[in-house]
Amino acid sequence: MSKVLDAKVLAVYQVAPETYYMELEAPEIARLAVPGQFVHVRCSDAQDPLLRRPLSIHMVSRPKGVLALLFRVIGQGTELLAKRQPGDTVNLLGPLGKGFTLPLPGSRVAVVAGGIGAAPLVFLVQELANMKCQITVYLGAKDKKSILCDGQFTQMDAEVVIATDDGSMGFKGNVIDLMERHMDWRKTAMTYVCGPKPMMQRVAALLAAADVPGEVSLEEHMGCGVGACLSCAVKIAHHGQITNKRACADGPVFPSWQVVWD
Amino acid sequence: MKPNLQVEIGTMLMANPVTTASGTFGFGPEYTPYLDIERLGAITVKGTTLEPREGNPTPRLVETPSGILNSIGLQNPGVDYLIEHYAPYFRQLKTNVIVNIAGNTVEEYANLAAKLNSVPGIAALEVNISCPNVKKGGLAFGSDPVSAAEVTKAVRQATTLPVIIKLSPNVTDIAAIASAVEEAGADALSVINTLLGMAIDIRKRKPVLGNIMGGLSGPAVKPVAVRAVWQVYQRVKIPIIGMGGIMNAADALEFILAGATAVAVGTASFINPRAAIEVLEGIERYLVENNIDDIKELVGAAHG
Repeated sequence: MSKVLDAKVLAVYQVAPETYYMELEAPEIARLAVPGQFVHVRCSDAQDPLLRRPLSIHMVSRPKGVLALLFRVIGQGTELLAKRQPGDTVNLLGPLGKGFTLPLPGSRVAVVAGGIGAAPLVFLVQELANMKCQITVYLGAKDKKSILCDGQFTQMDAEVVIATDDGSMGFKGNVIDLMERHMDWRKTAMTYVCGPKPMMQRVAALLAAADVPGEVSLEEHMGCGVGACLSCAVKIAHHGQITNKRACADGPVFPSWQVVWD
Repeated sequence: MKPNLQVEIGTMLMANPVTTASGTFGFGPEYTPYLDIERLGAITVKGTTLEPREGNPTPRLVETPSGILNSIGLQNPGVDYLIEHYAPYFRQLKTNVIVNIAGNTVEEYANLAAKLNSVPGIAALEVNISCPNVKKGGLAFGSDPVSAAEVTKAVRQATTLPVIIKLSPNVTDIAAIASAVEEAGADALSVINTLLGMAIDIRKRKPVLGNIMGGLSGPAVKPVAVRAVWQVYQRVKIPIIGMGGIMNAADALEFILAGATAVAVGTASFINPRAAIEVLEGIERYLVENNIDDIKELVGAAHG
């Protein structure tokens, strides 16, 4: 069951170019949330911008009742959100959507993150680490400054391999080239992917060719976030039939082999 | 004393004047975690067509100043699915369910009305002759008094349920169309559907929406909607359900004062899932504070 509530901002700061970390006091949502879910965030109390912004849940601390978001400033809404100060309140609707499927405890898993796509994967790795999984994180970004969450992944005992487009950190190239060289993901029980659409599409193709199960977290323009408006339609193939599913309520996480990429 | 909030839309009795706008509230269950939908006078569910529809390509939604443009394109599972899977749920609800219908031809509208006529759990039909997001039918029927009347007549003959015709603001003279459908047997009018609009991505130099144009809704359209209700009220005797950018009770009261017997909350539900209930509570509070015993005293009161 999701909630609508005002959450107190505990901290907000910039962590990378145009990328902000925000910590909110939201015990009910922290208690209910599972990795891969999102919150629908009201960025301002005014009528412009009007809609909420769907932001994935970056981390939770259930004992502290704290929820963290990691987001990129891309427009008016996220810009206003980044300007919030500790002590302000932010109206949240959530947790929403269906999260990642967790493997059996102790499984070997791969996590593939591109840019801000790392945001929901920290919460996932948190959960996977609790389940004593062996985790390899393939982390890609355009340059060293834009690499996100590497320290958090390492702290949770995940193996982290990094790719940057300009070679300023780790492997020079993109995360797909990196995966093609680093074959460990072929032995995993599950590969979890979040990043730009073309990247997810290419990773999904790699997984399909190697017959490795995977899940991708999709992003679409959303209206309501609860499955009513049908704005965030994504094409999903199931048993030979292609149908529209709602990224907000049927996803945002879908099996990588079922997504029909345009 | 509690004020009387009960209103009538044709033979449909509403315990209060608040419903939801079609296409913004799913089939009801989507919002049950956030509000007691049975407290609303009615819920109006997603537009239904004879055959299932996949809808338009994405992106289907773009935000505009104080509004949104959508081009969903009537994605829905079709009327047979609605009858089989949703009508049993509607039957259990202690509120009215208004089913919005859309067709490609006059015959399709009549078929839909006939199919839904004897389905328990459905209180009224809202006839969408004004959807700006589908090629055939939709707006084509709603922008001409003669074809609007033709659809109304066909639906009227096919059903005993109250027939509510949803009017488009994308016309020169909305009152003329209102008058034509009243004469053709409509029990009530929904005023207004979305305004046709578009947005262009200056970075890509392309239209934002997959379907290029879409329907504008939200607070940005409210003055247009209030004006339309005002004009229609002056021309017809049948009740009007006012809608278009209602975010709170004050907005709803503007529509009622302009001539709406009931109001529908649409886009506001996306921002505040409890918006419809808050509108209802706010209307009730206004009546109490102003010593008004019956909501009907306010309907059209701004006309003097």
